[in-house]
Amino acid sequence: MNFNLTVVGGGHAGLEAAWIAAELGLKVALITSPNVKIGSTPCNPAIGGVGKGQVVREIDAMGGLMGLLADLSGIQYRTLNESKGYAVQSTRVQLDKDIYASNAEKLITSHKNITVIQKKVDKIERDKLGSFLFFDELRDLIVESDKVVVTTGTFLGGVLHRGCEKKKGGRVGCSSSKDLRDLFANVKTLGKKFKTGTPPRLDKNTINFSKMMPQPSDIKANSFHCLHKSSQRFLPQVECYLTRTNEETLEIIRENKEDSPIFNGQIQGVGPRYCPSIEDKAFRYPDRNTHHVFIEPEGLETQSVYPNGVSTSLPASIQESFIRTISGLENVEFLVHGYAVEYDVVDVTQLDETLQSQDIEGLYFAGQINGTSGYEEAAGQGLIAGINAALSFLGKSPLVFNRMDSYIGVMVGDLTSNKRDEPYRLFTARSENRLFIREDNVINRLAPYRKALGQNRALDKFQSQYLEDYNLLSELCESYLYKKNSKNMNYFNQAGYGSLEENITLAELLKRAHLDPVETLFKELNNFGVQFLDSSVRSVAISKKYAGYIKRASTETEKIQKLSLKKINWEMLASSKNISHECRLRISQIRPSSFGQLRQIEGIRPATLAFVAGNFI
Amino acid sequence: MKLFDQKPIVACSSGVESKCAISLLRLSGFEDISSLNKYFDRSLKAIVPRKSYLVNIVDKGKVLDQALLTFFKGQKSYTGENTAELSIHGNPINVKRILKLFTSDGFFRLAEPGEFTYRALKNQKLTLSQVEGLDSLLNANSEAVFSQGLSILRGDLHASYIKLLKLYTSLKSSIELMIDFSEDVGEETAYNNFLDSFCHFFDHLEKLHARTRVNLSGLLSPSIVLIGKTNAGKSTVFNLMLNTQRSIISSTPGTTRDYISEYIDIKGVNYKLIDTAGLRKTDDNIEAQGIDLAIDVYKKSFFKVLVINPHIEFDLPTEVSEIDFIIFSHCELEGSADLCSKIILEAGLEGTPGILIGLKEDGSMGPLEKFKFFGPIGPKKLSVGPIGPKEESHIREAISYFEGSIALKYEELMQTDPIVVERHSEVIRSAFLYASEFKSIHLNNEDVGILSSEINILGEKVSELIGVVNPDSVLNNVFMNFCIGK
Repeated sequence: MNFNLTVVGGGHAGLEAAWIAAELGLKVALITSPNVKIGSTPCNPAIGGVGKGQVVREIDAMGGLMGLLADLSGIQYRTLNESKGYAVQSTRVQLDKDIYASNAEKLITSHKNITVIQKKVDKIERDKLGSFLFFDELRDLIVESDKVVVTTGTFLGGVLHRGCEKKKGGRVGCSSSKDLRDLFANVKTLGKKFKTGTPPRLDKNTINFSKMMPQPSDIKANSFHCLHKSSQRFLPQVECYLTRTNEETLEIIRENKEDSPIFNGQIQGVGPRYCPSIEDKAFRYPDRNTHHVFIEPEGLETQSVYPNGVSTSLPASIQESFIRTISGLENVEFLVHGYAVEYDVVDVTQLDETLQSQDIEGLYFAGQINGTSGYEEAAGQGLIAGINAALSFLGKSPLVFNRMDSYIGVMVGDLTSNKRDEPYRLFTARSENRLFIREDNVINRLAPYRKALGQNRALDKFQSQYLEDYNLLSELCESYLYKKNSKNMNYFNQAGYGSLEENITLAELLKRAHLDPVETLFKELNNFGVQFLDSSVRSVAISKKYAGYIKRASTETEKIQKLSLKKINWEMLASSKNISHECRLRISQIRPSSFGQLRQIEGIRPATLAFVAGNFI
Repeated sequence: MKLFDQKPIVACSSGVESKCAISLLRLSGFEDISSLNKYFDRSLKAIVPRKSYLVNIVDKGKVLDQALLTFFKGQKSYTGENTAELSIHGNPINVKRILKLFTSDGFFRLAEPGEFTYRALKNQKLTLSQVEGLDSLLNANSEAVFSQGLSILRGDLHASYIKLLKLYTSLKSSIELMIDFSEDVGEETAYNNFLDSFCHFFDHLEKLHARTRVNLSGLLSPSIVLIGKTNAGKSTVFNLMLNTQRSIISSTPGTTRDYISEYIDIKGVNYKLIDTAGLRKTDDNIEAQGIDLAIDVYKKSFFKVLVINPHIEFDLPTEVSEIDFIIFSHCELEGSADLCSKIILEAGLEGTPGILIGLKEDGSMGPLEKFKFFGPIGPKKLSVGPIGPKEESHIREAISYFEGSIALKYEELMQTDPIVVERHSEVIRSAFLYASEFKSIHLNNEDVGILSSEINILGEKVSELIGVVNPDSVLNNVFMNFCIGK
């Protein structure tokens, strides 16, 4: 069977890659392991979060699936950082995992350009014409295609750990795939494994929720998919609960250090510091004797709940005893025990900014195999790999997201410019332009990229309508003038807007520090009796509020930004006698193409930067 | 930035014009030591780096000079390139003809000012801060500035900057903690952590800033200026100072309408002592120019001395606001003490240290009993004099007190460990200004996005200090204004 593109793996990265390429007209084969559900969420039952919420909306604005699927299965919404200003707010939604997966499967299998093949790929080879050939364990050819996106998550060389139990597998109940090098010769791995873990799953019926603090769903939080109504819900909403570990919990863990694969040397892989297991917390922070545990339902029907905060790979019996010390979980029954998994990752510095291998043309990598963690990060990469594999097949120029206007751009830039020592998660801190890369203006930011795909669907129509609306309202804010007269002065006073010392525009009013720009703009538009899309009102108001700060930041950092954009020739640097050996080594590993990328590389000395800036730019 | 080519360079490091017994030539950037064989009477192929060899310098078979040659192999030399040092006889004629030998065949070219150091920087033998320290080291006018040059070269000051960068990094992290992890650590903990981090950062920056609040030009070549009305006695004081000085370094001629200056040494620091034109209202254009010049010199001076004749009408020019020391002249005359008191009170100069000098021909002390009224002149030692010029010991005492005041000011200044590199001071001042503004306007902003954006701007200023940022203009500046290697 011949395809334009083969996607290996049906997780969040694979789904997006296959979907967007199919939308762009490619014939796509999606090969997934038998017994592994398409679009499963094997760890926490939530999508979104600080920074991640922006990514979900970016994927959505590009025509991806994640936002749509999250809304269709959403059972609780929250706006994080709600009190900290609009720039750092993000949406997170708890999922019904089964509904998420079944919707994902429905969508994918119903696309006319996608063929789902449930088989295990054992070997990928390339024929003389450059086509990729995919073989199963019996050396039978499964498919053949021009491009390939590999999104095998934790399955390559996966090893599961729970106490001293250790077995091959990508996930509990699923066998692993071969080592990456067996699958595909000539691909460089990072040379060390990464590790991740997950907590046990508990039986809802055996939990005493009355001892925990309920956390209700936020009815106002905005849904993800831009064609949905702003707070549209598709399923009944449920509560999560908050409880805590205590001294007894931690004591049990501390007493059983030798049984912990992380601490007794059984696990060598590097785990993420931002998502520590409960063992990590117990040993690395001996002074703390309580930690939050969020009890999150995994769905409406299922009995399974996810205790967020107690990821563990201790032996099953110890897991049971420490979990049962937690308030409300005294009599809890386990459905699945927690475990850790070690897996192979590719050396992402050998990928270019389209996530294509620099050594093997047509081969793309996306998702956890690239050393990232998180569904959203995986999906974002899947989107980039899928789009670029498709554009490359169609003979069009690649689409690279700028890190100044999207978190996907930040992530891909970070990944390909630096070797990672631990799993990569997107934090808003990684962006230099956080005031601009917000959830509310996602269409403003992404529409130019979407436009480059040349589609004309409902999404594209909505985006151009939104932008029209936005621009009109934005101009109105700049031109509408409150004249300094007694009527307006009275109105300002009574509305709590402060004083009116001179004529000011609506935009200037929105900038006033003590006012909520969104509320104010809605109120004023209401007074004028004019109607705009809710989403454009929100985005215009927030944009006006931040405009001055963004401009200030960009002028203050202009010198650096200018310098950062300057292209450099890494080969020249790598052969320069004037740069230290270690720096040259880092440069030839990472192959930076701009001064900005060079500056991002860890271990590059200031003197090297000064030298490069002075001599090569 | 002006880019030098990679050609081998030569320069006389000990100066071409002055006569000295030995001059040192440096040659840098040649591929192979053997390529220099043509200039010598022996093959250099087998010479061992870092050992000295007695060689003859030859030009077409003719011996030009006998010299001591030392070879430093690339990487381990000052510039990082192959370097040779030649100690030759120091006669300028000799130096010039040997430089000509090396350059006339086009193999070497004369080094540009600062080019040896430029190459050292380029080859990462020195950091940018070290280069700036070297500038202080070589162009220092006093021991203190010299020792800071050394300290920068050793990296001490750099360490303090690195600490600032570290504190900044924790500040930045505390913001990220608030944004990305407040669910994990709790809102309040995260916020307090941010406030603490800001305080630590601000404290350190404030300390650095205190070290920049120095009139740098005054410190690098400190001058003592005498100002006062015409006939106040400035020239007398000037001559008195010179007569008690043993180490006059040079003399600058001038006219009475210009200014006269001499170098004097006070406790190891070279000062320029300047006698200015008398301040008075005038219609004479040339004299007016002289007075403007005097005011200008006054403003730039490190130590400002006001000379007053209590017996002529006193008024302080509006431009004169800051005075370090007062000298009353003509105090041998009757009633001086009362007049001096009156002037001090009227001019609001209480607490300024000062001395009284008298010029009575016969050496008598004048109305000494009145001096107890001179309390307001100085906080510690109040007054000395009046002093007859023949009473050597009294002159010494007065001048020694005067010099003590000067040295005290200098030492106090140096105790603040001032940052003498102008670029550093500028960046620190700008960062401090920005941080202060942030503290008063944004520190309590509830919008963490805005907090963070403003903190990022601060970060760019901090990293500028380390020399990471915008090195283009920095390097340009350093190498264009910087003269060593010649």
